[in-house]
Amino acid sequence: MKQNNKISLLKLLTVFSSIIAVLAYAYSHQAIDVKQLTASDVSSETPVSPKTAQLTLPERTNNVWQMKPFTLPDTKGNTHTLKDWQGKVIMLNFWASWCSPCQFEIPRFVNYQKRYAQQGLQIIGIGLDEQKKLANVERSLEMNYPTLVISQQEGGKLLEKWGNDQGIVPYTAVIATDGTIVYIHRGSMEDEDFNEFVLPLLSKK
Amino acid sequence: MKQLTSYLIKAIFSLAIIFPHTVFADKVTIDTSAETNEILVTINNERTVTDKDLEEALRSSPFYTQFNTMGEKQQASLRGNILKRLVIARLLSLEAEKEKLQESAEFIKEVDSFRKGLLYRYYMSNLKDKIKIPKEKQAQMKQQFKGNRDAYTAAKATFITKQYNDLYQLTIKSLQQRYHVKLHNDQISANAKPETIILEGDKGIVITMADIYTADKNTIQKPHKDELLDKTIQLAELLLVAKIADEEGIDVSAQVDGFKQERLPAMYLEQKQKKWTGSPKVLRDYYVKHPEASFIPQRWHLGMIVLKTEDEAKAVLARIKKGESLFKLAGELSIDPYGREHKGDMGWVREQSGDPIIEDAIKNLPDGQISGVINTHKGYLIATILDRRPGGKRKFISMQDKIAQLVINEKMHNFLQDLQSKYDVQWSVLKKQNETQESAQNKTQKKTIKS
Repeated sequence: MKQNNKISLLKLLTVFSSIIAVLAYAYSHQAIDVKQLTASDVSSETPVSPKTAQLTLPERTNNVWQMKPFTLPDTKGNTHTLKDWQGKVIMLNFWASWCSPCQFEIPRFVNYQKRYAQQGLQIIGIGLDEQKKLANVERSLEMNYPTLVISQQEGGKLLEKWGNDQGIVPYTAVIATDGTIVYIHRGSMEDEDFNEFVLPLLSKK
Repeated sequence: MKQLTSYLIKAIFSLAIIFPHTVFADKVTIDTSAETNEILVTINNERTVTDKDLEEALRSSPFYTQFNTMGEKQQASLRGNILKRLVIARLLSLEAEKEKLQESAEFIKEVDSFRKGLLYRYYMSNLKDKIKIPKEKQAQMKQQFKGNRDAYTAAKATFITKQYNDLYQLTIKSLQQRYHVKLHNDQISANAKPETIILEGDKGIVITMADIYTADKNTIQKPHKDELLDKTIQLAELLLVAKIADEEGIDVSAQVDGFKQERLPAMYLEQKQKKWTGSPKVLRDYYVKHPEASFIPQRWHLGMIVLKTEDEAKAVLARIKKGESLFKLAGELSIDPYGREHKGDMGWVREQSGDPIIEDAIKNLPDGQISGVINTHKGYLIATILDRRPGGKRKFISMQDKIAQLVINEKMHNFLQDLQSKYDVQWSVLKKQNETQESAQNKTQKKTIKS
């Protein structure tokens, strides 16, 4: 009789835990439904339909102003938060001085910044490296946008918050004027990607 | 034959869906940074190294990524080194030309093979560039992989590769017909004479056995016929494509000139080095004349305590002799910070790498025994040997390659010195730098006088 009771209890527990698992699954899927998260966030002026990259960020929002802010120094030692550039179309580019593909795409970014600054573009580098090396690359490649300095270890943690748990660079997030993270690009960003995901967000000349 | 290419593209696309538009127009272009063509160095008034040459050499170097991370002074010094190398390459070219190396069969063959390879690559890359994904197909892919950029990019690449493979096969087939190519399959054999023709066609297309296989007495197993056939087909495709590329006027002369400029001095140097090290006597003589090259130092695992005064050292030595541990005492008393931190364990030290006074004192000390007090300029020390590796001399046979490299280094140094004094090398870049510095100094002086 006691054994029967134990079996019933086990059955009950199994059913109960299955219900919890199903509920948790449903909840998590609701949470990663990109459309639900983005539809209300995007201003009607934004010409592209809102979508973040193919991933859900750990903070379960795709609006940068709802994420926990970070404060970092630039290569000259002045501290910044992303709020310093609120209202701009932000390209947040994670890079490192030892990374060849990063250095390969930077001259293209310099050109974007030069060409589209008037239309509201602001590229911001996040350099996972020593300040001195980052500053040297800035000078050598004549970079015309700021790079915020972070150690490789801390940078890895920050990257995780931006959906990159493998610490791969280059890695670029495109943020619309209202803070929506419209697109996240892994690897070197090409003109084609810029034209499709950044250009439509910029104001007309 | 108004462009065989365009015909082929039409042909292949008639098999697929044809929508010759692309979805993405390239709206953004990157301007290449303007480079001056300022002359930095002139050699004999006939050869120059320009700013552009230097930048190109720098960009194509494997350390370019690191270069950007360096400070200004380091960058300037690296630039200087590369400039020197470029000047040396020009000097070597002049020497090579004097000896008419550019007319040698070996050089001509290498250049020809480079040129044909380049023509092949350009022609095929042109073909590939002309493949466009039909607009509707692209829209369909975009829909299918919505939100997954990587998958979309991969799908596009797969589509283009498939189209390219079909186009490639069609191109080769029509070129075979165009040049009436005949393969003499029955002639292909590793035992055939080198001059045996195994493939031929119009306009001088010929492949002989020598082109695909050279008998070598060291070869244990001769290649199978299938292997030779594969090589023949590969080479034939290269020759056919290079031929049509030539006929269609694809111009690779600039790249070929660049290759010649790089390859001629390199080949000249290779030949020089072979000459310097070709005779076994030269290597043997160097080995005998330079015993330091084959010297293997003795190594000791050293234990040591260092004390400030002789009296302290004597007192410590007495304690050790009574049974106290040298290492324990070193951890407590040694005035050498490393020794105190590591409790007297100094690790492995090499013969002729440290203080000769210590080396003399420990050289003949039996393992495990304690030395007397050794007076050095760093203090008074007591040592013991925990273990040792014997030294010796490397055998000539085991270090011939190293000796050859040492001979090259020695000869090269003198050779390059001679070369630089043989030609008139004008470093305009240094002259200009000095002028700029002088004018800056003058300005400062004038300011000082005015004030």
